[in-house]
Amino acid sequence: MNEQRHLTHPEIRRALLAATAGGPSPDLQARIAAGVRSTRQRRRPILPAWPASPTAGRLAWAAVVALALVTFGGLLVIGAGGLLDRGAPDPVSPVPVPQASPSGGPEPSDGATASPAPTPTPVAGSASGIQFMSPDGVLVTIDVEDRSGRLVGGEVGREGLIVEPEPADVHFANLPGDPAGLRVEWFSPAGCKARYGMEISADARTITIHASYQEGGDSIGGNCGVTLRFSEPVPAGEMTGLLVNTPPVRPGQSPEATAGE
Amino acid sequence: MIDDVVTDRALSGLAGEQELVARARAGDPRAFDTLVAMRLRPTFRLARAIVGDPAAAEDVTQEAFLQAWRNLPGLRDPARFDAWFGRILVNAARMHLRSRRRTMTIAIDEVDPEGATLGRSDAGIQGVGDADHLQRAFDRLGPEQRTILALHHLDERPVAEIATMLGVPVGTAKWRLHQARAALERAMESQR
Repeated sequence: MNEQRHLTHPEIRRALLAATAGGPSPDLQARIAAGVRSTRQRRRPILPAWPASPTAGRLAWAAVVALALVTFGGLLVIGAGGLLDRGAPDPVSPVPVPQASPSGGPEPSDGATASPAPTPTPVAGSASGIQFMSPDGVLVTIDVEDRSGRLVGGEVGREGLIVEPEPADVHFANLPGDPAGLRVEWFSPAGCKARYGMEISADARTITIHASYQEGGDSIGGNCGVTLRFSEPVPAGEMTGLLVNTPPVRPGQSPEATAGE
Repeated sequence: MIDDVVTDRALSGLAGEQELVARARAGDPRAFDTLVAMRLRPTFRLARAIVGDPAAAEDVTQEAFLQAWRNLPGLRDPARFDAWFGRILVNAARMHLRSRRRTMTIAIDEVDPEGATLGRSDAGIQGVGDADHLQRAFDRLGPEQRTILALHHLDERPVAEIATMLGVPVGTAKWRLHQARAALERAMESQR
């Protein structure tokens, strides 16, 4: 019997080149060009890095600073009697305020994944959010509602970490040596380019992710991930994940309007 | 438009591509046309290696370029266009495979009834038949394994760059590449 011989790079390359020989249809380039001309680029006025000219860059920065000041001032006024009374927040990350949803969200069911619920529960009333910049420079917001009272922080990481996610998949894994740290990853048609709501059940064993997305949007089908830190161990094997895709948002209607009932 | 493309091709090399990316990012479709022209064949080839079917590879290629065009203003550093676009392409291929898997079932063990008649030379993969043999083994791999093998052996991207594209640590990418090669060798063996 022959010993199994390891394939070499030239062998694999030669076979792949042979298998992929031949170019695309002659009209593919023209089809792409036509598609480009009928497709608008996605501009994000809040992000400061991409302005084409120095003047535009300064204006963008000024807008960002002004927006940040207004937002900060508003938060001070609104939250002075609430959040600040509870003492200084955890410096690591936003600390969600546990509170029940007034609409009474659906109770989680067994199984690692679930089909979209018929009436997705909005995360109205959520006072905390995690924002992060994806590797592609996209600002993503996750509004967290923690009903367990055990969430002490969160860090949003990079997308694209699940090896082969299925739509509606939610995966869990504890951080190495940290049973109270929980990595949550999910995939949805919205990719990571959307606003998400995240709801943690009272027993901290079910996490429901609410995704909304623009109809005809341009999300890249990546997957998303966030690291949550709890005050006590949350075994990944006991976790149930639900992914609820809210209905597509029509032009002129913001995702917040859909979820903010 | 063709003349513009030809003119733009004079912007050869990396700096030229970055210039094109910057212009396309600012909304210049002709600069993007040139990028497409420069990258069409290798993009199609990689897509075909991942998804297999030429028609599907065209769809994936087109989708990847259009996604790139739409999202280009969000690319902060034109120097990262290559890895950024590669990531878009891989994701588009994954999405396609996912949708295909939902609508079609392939009995892997029945894919190659003639495969057993194709021998493999002890001297390595040399003839067309051997290449076919290897390609059939490649087709039996999962999309993630095909993707990482194609990125490394067809696109000849270094592991560190693949890790960036896939959003995994370098060690993980190395391990996945090793596993994919081993799976390919096992698939070859099973056809003998």
